[in-house]
Amino acid sequence: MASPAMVTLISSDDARFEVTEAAATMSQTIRHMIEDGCTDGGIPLPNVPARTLAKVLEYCNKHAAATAAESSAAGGAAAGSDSGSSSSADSAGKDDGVDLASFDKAFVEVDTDTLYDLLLAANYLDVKTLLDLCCQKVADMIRGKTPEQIRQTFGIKNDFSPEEEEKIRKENQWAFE
Amino acid sequence: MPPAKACRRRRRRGPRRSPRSPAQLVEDTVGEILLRLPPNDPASLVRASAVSKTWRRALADPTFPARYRAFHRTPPVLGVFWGDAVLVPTTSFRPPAADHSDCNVLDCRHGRVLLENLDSGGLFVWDPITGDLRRLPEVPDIFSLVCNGAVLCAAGARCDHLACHGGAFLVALVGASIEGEMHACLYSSETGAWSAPTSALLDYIYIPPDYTATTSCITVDNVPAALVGDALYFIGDFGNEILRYDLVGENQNLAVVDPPDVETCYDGVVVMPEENGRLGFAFVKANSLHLWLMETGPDGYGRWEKRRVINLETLFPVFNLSPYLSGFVDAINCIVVTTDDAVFTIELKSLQTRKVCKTEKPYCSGLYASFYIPACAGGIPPEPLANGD
Repeated sequence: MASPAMVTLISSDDARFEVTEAAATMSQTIRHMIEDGCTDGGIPLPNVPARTLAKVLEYCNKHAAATAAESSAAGGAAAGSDSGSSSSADSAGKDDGVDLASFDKAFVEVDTDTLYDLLLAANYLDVKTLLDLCCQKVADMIRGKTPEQIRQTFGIKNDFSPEEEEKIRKENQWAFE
Repeated sequence: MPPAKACRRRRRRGPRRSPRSPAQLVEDTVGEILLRLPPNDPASLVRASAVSKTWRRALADPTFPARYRAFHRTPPVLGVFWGDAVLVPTTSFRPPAADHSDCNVLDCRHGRVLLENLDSGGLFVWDPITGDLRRLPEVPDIFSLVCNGAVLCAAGARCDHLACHGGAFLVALVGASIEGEMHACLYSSETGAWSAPTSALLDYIYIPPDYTATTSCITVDNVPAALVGDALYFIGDFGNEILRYDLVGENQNLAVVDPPDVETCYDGVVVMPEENGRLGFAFVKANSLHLWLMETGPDGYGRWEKRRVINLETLFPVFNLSPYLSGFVDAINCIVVTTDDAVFTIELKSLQTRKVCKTEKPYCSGLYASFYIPACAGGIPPEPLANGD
């Protein structure tokens, strides 16, 4: 079998990443660039720094490998869903849904800055499942917090005037009690 | 053919987004996050609207409510009525005016609640989300006794009824006269008037010639009517009758439909819409839920067929807890079963069961299911965004 097609991605700080086309095209943004033939000399991603891009690609590699394993396993016998957790084995072809779910869960157990960088990158790169994952994680973190706690958690500046804030609270007092 | 050209040909499938500025990216992202806040905790959406102007604008986006409803699909049960019109919350949501304790709840449907004042008999349509309360004009004289009613969105099948609670509505009323005749009439918020009553004489009711009391008439049970197509089906006489009220057509006909030929006077009876516009019938007997379905035979007449019997003990604890079938909620396609301990919903298709709340009073008269999405349009002017293109 021929080696998989590779593409080069260039982060905003000029780091170069060699990845399989299958992993790279999990990003719709990159897929369109490849389809448009804009791959000569690497694909520049001016909105994504190396640190974040590395993390996004870790996600894409894992999921692309799982997808490939799934389609190749489709011909053979289906793997048992409970066939032991080989967490150390990171090789393609051994993942099942349970593995991927625990990978996803661990993947977003990061500090809030990293999470927000991932979220913005997933949005810019248009990686639907990663965007879902990050948004859900942030939503879970918002739940049960006051506006001030949310601002603190995510480093958001309160740009309401005291009058505006008071008005918002008064509209739905019940939600702040 | 030159291959270089072929590889430059665009093969784009979906529409491509125009380049976004960082500010737009952040705003998009906030919208995506807020979309995932759970509907059963409406306070979290409200608090999010107070975080910053960017967050508030994401919620104020005119497309947000529809996207939020599409994302979650099933509205949450925001509260329960225990006989009177006091909405007891089951989530963090608190209605602007929760207390109409001088009223009875006749129906909850399509985001609205139909109330009957216990003293005056006056009828009101209440929107618990906005607090809006609309008094309906006097009921036609012929109704000496209002037995049951239903409130529904006027748009019918053209609406998904997830956000229509501020729009035009209909109220159907079924009652009896002193003479033992059944009557029904329809109020339209668009005309602001009741239709002329339509009547049906139930031939089995024998009224002695010298009878003057008002209690001789058939009862219409205070369980929600089933809205199937353009007809409402009310349960009458403790499940021994079904009254069909056609809402459209020249003569809004009132007719009697026989229930399944089984002894149903047990622990609650409801009618409900089933798939493909069919009428369903359910009752609880000896800890089992019995489901029947009206099938149309080759002769064009409807006949009841037993769909299934479900042992409630397989769904939730019922032993010695007197499970009682207390209603059906259109918005979530669920049958409501109340036990001495708790209120449960059973989704009709999947039979997925959910505990709604603990039982506080013996009689659960309705569940209010609706999305609550705070209106953020007022107050904060939208700031022009720096556009990337």
